[in-house]
Amino acid sequence: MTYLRQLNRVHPFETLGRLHDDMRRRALGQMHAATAPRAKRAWQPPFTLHESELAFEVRFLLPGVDPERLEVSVEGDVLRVSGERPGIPDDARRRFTNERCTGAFARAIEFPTPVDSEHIAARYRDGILHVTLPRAAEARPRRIDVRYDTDVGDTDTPQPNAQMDAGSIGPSGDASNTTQNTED
Amino acid sequence: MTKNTLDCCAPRPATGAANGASTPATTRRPTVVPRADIWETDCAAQLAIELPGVTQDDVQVRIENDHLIVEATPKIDEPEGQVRRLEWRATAFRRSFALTDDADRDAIEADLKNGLLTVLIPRRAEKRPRTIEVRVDT
Repeated sequence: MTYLRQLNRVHPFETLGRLHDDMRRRALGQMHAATAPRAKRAWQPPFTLHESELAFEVRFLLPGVDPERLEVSVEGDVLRVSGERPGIPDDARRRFTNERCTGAFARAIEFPTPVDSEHIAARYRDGILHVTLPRAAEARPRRIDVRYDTDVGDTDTPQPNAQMDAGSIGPSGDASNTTQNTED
Repeated sequence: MTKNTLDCCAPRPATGAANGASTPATTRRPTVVPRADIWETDCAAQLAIELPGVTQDDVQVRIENDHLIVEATPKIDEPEGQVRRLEWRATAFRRSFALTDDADRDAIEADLKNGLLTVLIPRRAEKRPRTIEVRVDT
């Protein structure tokens, strides 16, 4: 929940914007392609984001990009991807459909927890850009061992102590279960 | 049952759509129409079709009933961990394009690179625009 909210904050209306772009492109179709100058604004490639205990994995949908023209950078907790891909060449005599987003693209993702910027791996294959960002050591979920002292008799709680010793299995099992749940 | 024997004559290649019904839910993917740009030069029509995640083994391009048919089923593994954002999904692709009479069916070339399929459909030589030299008789 928290993650989703924070990420949404980065691009609040982008889905709507994409929808609108898409509709406009379809509606204007050929006319738009033939007459309007190419949009100067960079388009935003769609991505998926998966989060595991150790890393974030991001996959950008970017078919038809020359890997040389693909730039991936990390600054703090923000991942930036930008580049350019060619569209219909200028010497085309006639354009029938122009459905692809072409030209300059850019997208930034802000991560809710720190990432280990030294060990980020990016791989571009078959039109998909995979970026793996390990979570910073301090941001990884840690398991905290619950210490259960049996001989706490030195403090001034005489009555409950005797009972806990007797039935130690039940309460201790419950206690460790609840801590695990809250970690997740 | 006689119908079946007729169909056997032209066995249909296994497509994503056809497989979808019988394969387990984990591998079943919807089939979508891939985005494409189509343009024309003097001597050829060109298609650029987006097939992200598709390798050479996953794609089939064929001509059937005056249509160029592109089918692809990419093998994309599911990343580990919980989904935080899902703006695209791995799908199978299918799209067909009607070929006109001037398309030279035997000279069609298809090339897959970085998840983009480029198809070159040359025009028949006799249909290409020609410049006729004007002879001046003196």
